[in-house]
Amino acid sequence: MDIGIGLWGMQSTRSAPVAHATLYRRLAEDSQVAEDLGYESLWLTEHRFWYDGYLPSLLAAGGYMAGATTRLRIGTGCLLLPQHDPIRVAQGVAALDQVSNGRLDFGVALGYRDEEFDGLGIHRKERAQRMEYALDVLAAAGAGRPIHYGGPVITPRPVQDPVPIWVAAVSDAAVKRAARRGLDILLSDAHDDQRAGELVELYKKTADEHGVDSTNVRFGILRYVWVDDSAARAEAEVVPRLRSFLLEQLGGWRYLSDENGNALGFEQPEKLRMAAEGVIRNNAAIGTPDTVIRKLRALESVGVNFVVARSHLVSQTPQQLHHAMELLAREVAPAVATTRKA
Amino acid sequence: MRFGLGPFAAEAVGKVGATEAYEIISDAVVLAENLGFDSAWTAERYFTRDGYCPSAFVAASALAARTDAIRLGVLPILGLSHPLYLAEDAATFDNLAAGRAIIAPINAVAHEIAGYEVDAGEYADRFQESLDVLFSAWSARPFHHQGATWTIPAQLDGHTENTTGTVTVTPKPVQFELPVWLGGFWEEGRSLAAHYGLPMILGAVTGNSALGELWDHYDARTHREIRAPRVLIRDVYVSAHGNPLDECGEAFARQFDNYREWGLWSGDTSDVAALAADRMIIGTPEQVIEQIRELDEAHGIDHLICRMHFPGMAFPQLVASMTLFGREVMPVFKMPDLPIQILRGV
Repeated sequence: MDIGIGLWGMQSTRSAPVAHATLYRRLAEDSQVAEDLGYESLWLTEHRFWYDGYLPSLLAAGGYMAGATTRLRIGTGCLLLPQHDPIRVAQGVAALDQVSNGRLDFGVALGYRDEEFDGLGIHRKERAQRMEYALDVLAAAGAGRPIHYGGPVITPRPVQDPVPIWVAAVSDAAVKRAARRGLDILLSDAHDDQRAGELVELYKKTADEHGVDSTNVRFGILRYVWVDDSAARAEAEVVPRLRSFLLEQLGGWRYLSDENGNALGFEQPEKLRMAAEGVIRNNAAIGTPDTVIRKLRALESVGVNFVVARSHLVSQTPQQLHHAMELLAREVAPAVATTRKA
Repeated sequence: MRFGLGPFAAEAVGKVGATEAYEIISDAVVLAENLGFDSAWTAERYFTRDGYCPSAFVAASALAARTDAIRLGVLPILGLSHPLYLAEDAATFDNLAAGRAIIAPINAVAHEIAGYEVDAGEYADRFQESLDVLFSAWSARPFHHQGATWTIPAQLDGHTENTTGTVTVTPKPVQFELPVWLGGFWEEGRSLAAHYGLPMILGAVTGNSALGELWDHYDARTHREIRAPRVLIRDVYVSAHGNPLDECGEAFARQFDNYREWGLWSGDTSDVAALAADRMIIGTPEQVIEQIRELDEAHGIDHLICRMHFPGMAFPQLVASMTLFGREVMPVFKMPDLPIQILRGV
């Protein structure tokens, strides 16, 4: 199993306000720390029109990371593709893959906040078809073909042939969409291990049905991960931060659903709290290296072979973050890498 | 006078491939910062044969990580896609550059307008409407916009009701008023620059003999009472020996073949010396000083953006030209009566 580090959204929240220019300077520093520790990749995340300044421009931020590093891969986790102009995105992808000399991991998701679609004049209900069309444009751009009959050829071509595309796989439909194209997937931090395993199996089954070889597909997942020498300190320092972070975003954006499939917002505080608690207790990997190794091996046993470890939780200090990143790289990563080879 | 370097676009030409072209930009801008240049610029063009950078913000963002003082100017194409994408890129860029951004929107050319399936007859109006959206999006206040092409927020059926009727674009730029300069490479751009009172950039496509009329026209049209900075892009090459046009003329002319193909310029590149005479700053440091002085005396230049890297040029040749320019030419324009002893070194 390979490990990337995430997710950087450049947020200055109510509970942990920081000047945005400072957050971007830290992104460069954090990227250099990740590179020095041997992480494969560092992942950015996108939202827009939100009070905390959530990063809306992943490709520009990726260019900044490219300038700050030489080896680290640049992950978008995820760019909300249906909210964008597909030509403009394909041009940005080409430029970023060129400026980084082939270091882009391009993750895409549907997006779900009505306010984001509405600000850009895009119907949310069209997001699936817009996703399919944009993936076609990206494929054509990567191959140097016109984006449609009589359409333009996007230039230059990226360095990588092809740029790895990771599809955020929240639902069965999204997993099937990725499988039909043989693209990598990124499962959600809201999926527990069992659900993750079901979606990996669904991918493989769908790929087989479409004659797509899934041997080298990367089955990635987002997981809140925090490593500390002391389990008690990890619990005391990180869980309250994570809970506050989850409640604010899950409530503000209505990302999670209740058992009946209805979006959960601040109007249902008790259900919201239970949903956040579920993410923390069932899905997160927080504790000593042994605890985190056990959790990651469990993921591996259901077919996941890549983790974006969400250690960047917005509110911790750079020193705390770098220490946790170091423990994850030194104490955990070699252990889970060994299980793959064995 | 202030000096800029660029615009860069990472074209792959001759022995210089795209990857090396991006490395050259990065190293050249680090050198420019150390030589005391005030700004460095990236540009974009779409659907070209030479792989011209299609995202000026991505290229400039990499430069922001390599530098910490030089201002970073971006020349993005405006008016094709939704203006909020550019608004967000610019605001993000100003943050990651810690407040060093200058945004200079430029016009799309015919093949780009067609590639984006935009009606050419509507393009100029889309450009102006986009500019209005940018200013609203970068302001500290929530906003709404109702124009011929875009309605923000759109309030589409089926979406959660937007009870405020406004949108707040975040993050906000670091700079309270993000500097916006307008490319005066087309009549609409010159007209808008005067209308809004924004600094106007006259580019390589405009020969020396045409500059005066365009700036006079700006002055006549603008309501601005404080003189607007005059920004000029010129191809610059400094060499201590030989006939410098032999060292760079072919690469220089190649740019103008592109401009003609893109419909930005109608002229002839067969006589490179004649082409260079009206628009290039070239020669020994003494000759270059004299040429800049003539331009300055005629027009009062505030910011001279020097395109010193011609696509395909090897990096050592660029370093030599930039170093001569930084050491022998730029100091002369810091103060009009700089003692000759300081230039010679004491």
